[in-house]
Amino acid sequence: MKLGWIKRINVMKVVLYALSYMHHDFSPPIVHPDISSKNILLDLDNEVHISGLWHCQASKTHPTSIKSNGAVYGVPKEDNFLTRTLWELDREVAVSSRTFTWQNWEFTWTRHSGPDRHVYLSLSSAVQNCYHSLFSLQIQKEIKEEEEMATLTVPTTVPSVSEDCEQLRKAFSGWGTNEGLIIDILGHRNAEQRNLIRKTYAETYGEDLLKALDKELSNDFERLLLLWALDPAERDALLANEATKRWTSSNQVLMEIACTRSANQLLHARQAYHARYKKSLEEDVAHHTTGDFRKLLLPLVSSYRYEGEEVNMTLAKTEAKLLHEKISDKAYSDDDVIRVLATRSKAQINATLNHYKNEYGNDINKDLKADPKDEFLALLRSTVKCLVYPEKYFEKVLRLAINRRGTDEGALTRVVCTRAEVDLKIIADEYQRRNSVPLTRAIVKDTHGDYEKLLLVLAGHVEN
Amino acid sequence: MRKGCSKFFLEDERQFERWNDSAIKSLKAEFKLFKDVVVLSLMHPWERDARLLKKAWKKGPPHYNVIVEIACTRSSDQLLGARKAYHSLFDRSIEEDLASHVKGSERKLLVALVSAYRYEGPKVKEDAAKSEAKALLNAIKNNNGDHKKKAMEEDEVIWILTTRSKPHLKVVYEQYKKISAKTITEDLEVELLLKETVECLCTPQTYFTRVFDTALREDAKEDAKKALTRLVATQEDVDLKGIAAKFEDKIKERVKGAYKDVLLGVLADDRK
Repeated sequence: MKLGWIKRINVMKVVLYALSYMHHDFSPPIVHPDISSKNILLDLDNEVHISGLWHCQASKTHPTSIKSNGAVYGVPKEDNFLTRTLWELDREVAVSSRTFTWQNWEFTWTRHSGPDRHVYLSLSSAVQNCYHSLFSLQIQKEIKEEEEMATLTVPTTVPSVSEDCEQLRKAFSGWGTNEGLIIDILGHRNAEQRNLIRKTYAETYGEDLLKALDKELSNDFERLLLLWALDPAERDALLANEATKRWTSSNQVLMEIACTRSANQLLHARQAYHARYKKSLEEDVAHHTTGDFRKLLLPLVSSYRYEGEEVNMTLAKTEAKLLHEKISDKAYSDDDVIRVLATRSKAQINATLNHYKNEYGNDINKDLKADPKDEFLALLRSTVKCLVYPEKYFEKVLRLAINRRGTDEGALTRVVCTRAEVDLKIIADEYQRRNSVPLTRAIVKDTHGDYEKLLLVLAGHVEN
Repeated sequence: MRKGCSKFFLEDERQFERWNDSAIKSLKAEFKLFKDVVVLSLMHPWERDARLLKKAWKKGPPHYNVIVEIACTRSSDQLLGARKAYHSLFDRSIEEDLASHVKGSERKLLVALVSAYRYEGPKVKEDAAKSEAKALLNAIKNNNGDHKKKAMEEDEVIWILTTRSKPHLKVVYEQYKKISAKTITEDLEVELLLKETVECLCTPQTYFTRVFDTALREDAKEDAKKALTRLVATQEDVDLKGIAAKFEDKIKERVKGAYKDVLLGVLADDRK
């Protein structure tokens, strides 16, 4: 196996893609604590493997090794033949080296004399140190921030998955169901934990946990539990699918999912949709919506926005002007209006709308209130809200759901379920600010029984 | 060779034996083509597609077929990968760039094509296919009558072609042939971009064969030749192998020098 410079460049590219995958596309992000030549292995097919994740930081999942096409591969055993081979060859003397920059990373390559079959990449130690301090801090910060916005509480020592499954099985057997136990377990587990429980339950008892739920329970509590137990992507797919069906159709829900999820979350929802319904979400939206609504919703659900924070102020000015013109002409479903809202990054839209307010005096949603009965305008206003201050949007949905004569359980369930692990705390704060009543108190007042109990658990309510 | 030549300066001291301008130009051009193939084939396919997309919209309408080519012939995940790579490379999404820089009637179609994330399974809806074939026929026939709006601007046409799965579209085309006297590609002769969309989605071989053919003609223009580079370099991503092989002889005939060697080399490489 000869390793010329170009091959080494390619190996390096793969390593960088893999690292980027671990940081940005894997949830939760994995920080590799020890990227070095020892941990970059080539197998006999020239596939690159990154190992050494046994003690990685910020990883709540199993250690993995990433195969070169980005797919998660599996765990190489520590006494893997390849590792040993490389270790042994690690003692050669460098005969030539050169420094090479790629995307702001500096790498020093050393070529070794001796038998052909080895590779040696050394990251300069300065870069290594920098990498660790920069990324581990950053990712720890991001994780902490995320956890502070969610209301879900998970016990510090979580029972093992098999224990959870056993308890859940017990809760379903015998006379009637032990709802309290189910709430205590599932209501305090995050998405990965729930997924693992479902998987293990199916392996142990031969049936899907959710089927068991279906059999034993009924009504609002069941729906909440079912939706909660699902993986977030599957949940979004289910909600979206319902929203395209005739009796449960809802343009609002489609817009909500498309705009309040991150680009990757929306993507995962679309993938889950393929798997579950054997068609694409886009087809269904195109097929089941019409006119202006379709014009707006189809690009929204198809979007894959850039997620960076960079903002172009000149563009913000131009687009704010454009929006203002179109709105003044009452061309609300104009192509340009839709393309700005459906393709620009959230940061860019934010900048554009700020500029709009500064330049033209009004918040854009005020200008979009021209006709309070126009449903399309209402959807457009909600779209804007979802993109720039989702917590206000959700507060309104909750407020309307609760204040209605006879609560809108569908909306209440949906919001609590989908935001408990994301930003329900902020939404609850906003709710209290606007209504002078804590969200949990409003829930207690308006709901009852096990439905109320699970809602409160998910909303982070602690029994006094 | 030239260094050994002592008679560098001819009679008049101002006139040295310079190399023929056109010779320099052609050498440069040849090595540029060579370099392009090498660089393109070494890149990761996602990065390659992202860069090709950017170049295509920057260069303008005659190059929009590259956008159609990439958006329609790649698998859903490959296209997605290209979009991700585009984010990383250019700090923007391809959708926003296309939406803000493509001004003409092609805009809606192109943006929708790159935003597609099609279902890839075999399941097909026969009834829907029938009504969609009808809708396409109406849009195309109306265009022939009323020249103000092109078929590619019709919402119906766009959502059918950009959200339906490829197997489903195959059935739509079959249904189309039943209700129209001709095939859909025949009926779309007037709207080249739309025709290429339809071709690339379900019969990419027709499209690629045509591009190869044009590139290898005697009177081929620069852009057509560049297409050759692009197709050979990206052939591993798309099922081109059969077609590229067919054109090998013509490549040996028409193409010269290092460029030819590298093209044939990449083709051979992929056959392993």
